[in-house]
Amino acid sequence: MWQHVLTIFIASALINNFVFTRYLGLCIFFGVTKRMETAVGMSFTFTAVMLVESALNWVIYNYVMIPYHLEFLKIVIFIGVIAAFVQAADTIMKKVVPALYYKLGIYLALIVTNCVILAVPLLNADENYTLFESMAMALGSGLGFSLALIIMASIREKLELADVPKSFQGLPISFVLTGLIALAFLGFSGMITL
Amino acid sequence: MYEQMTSILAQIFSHAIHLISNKLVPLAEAGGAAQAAGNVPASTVYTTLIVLAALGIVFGIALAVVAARFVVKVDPRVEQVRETLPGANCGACGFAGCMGYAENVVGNPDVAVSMCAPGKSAVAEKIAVITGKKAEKVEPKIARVFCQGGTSLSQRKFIYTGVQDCTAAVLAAGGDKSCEYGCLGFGTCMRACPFGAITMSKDNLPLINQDKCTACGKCVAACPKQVIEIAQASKAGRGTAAASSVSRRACAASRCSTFSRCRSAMYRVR
Repeated sequence: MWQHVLTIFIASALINNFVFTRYLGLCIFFGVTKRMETAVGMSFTFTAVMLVESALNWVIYNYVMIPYHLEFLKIVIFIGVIAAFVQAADTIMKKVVPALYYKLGIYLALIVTNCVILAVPLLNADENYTLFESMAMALGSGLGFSLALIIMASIREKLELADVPKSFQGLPISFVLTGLIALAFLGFSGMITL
Repeated sequence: MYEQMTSILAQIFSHAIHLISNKLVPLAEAGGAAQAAGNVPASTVYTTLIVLAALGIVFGIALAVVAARFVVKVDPRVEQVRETLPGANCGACGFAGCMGYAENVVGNPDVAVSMCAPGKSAVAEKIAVITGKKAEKVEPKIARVFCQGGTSLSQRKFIYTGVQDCTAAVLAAGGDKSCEYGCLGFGTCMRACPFGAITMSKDNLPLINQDKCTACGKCVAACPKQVIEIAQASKAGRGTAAASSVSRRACAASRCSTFSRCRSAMYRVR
């Protein structure tokens, strides 16, 4: 079983990397990678929120939605759970650890309606994962997303100094780079087969 | 799969609307609409509504408890200061928007009350009252124009008939004025001014309305010849006469290289 969990973890981090293989979460990916600091902050917040909300959603899916045959309400209920959890986390963090709140608070608000955050519980539900498998999937996806953000942020910081043709400056060259990294990430496919 | 989901959801919504419109008449008796809605059993509709309502109530209560348990007292003065500020979020104070300045001016004793440039001294005094800080005299700033060589004084190198805009005219050999440094007089700064504080004089020189000018610096950025600067208001008018006299002597010359003299005439009086 643990081997299976580890496989899911590595698969979701590298082979099915959300940014480079599934092409999800691109708005945040391009939005926060202008600076390393914001990229790291977003990575932490993302991974933590994903881990908790996937567990929460697993419980609700398996103990509320399946018994009442409400699987078709996945999207509505998952988004509600995520919004409630993020709002609660926001309030608690503001009181308990204000320093962390001022560092990461702005990212929390962005996270609520993010597609990667919603995709993790949806995929977990589709695959009928167990709780541990769901959390491995969430942790793997979070770290994979962090990896994508940090790779991109470090390249874009270097890019500031590069001599880029005028029409390619800014977003266009970032798109080109993302495509190239995505090609590189294709190399992971087939590394593990479930 | 998603088509199935959306069709089920659509049926449930139509059931729900029907329920409400019939004042909660049981669904079996609702007749036509239930038949038209098709194959969703009434029990599914009820469980959906009940589960969603229950989840909503649970989350609502949880959030309310969290909000009450972890309440953070926000200084009410922050909100007062934010309402006093012009709300332009221009960033002239050096903080991230008006809210950022409001938080800092209330929370940090070292942040002066007079940093809001568009608000000028009126806002600074109000903030001083709210925060209990001392309002030091704010020296208002204002835009001023260096060049005094209008069309009546200066000569033309050539006849410019292109787009009547300084940024366009400057591309044609630096503009049509014989003075390479002077105001081109097409009023780009006038159009750049968001407060309508700049008018063009008969002599095609910008005139700054001191009451309307907020020293936002948009005209400084717009002018391709850099003949406008932001200065202390008390010094805005000074030096103009001296610069005019330089202009009278020099701008009429076919090739002027004395802009440094115009500029130093303005500076000398400081």
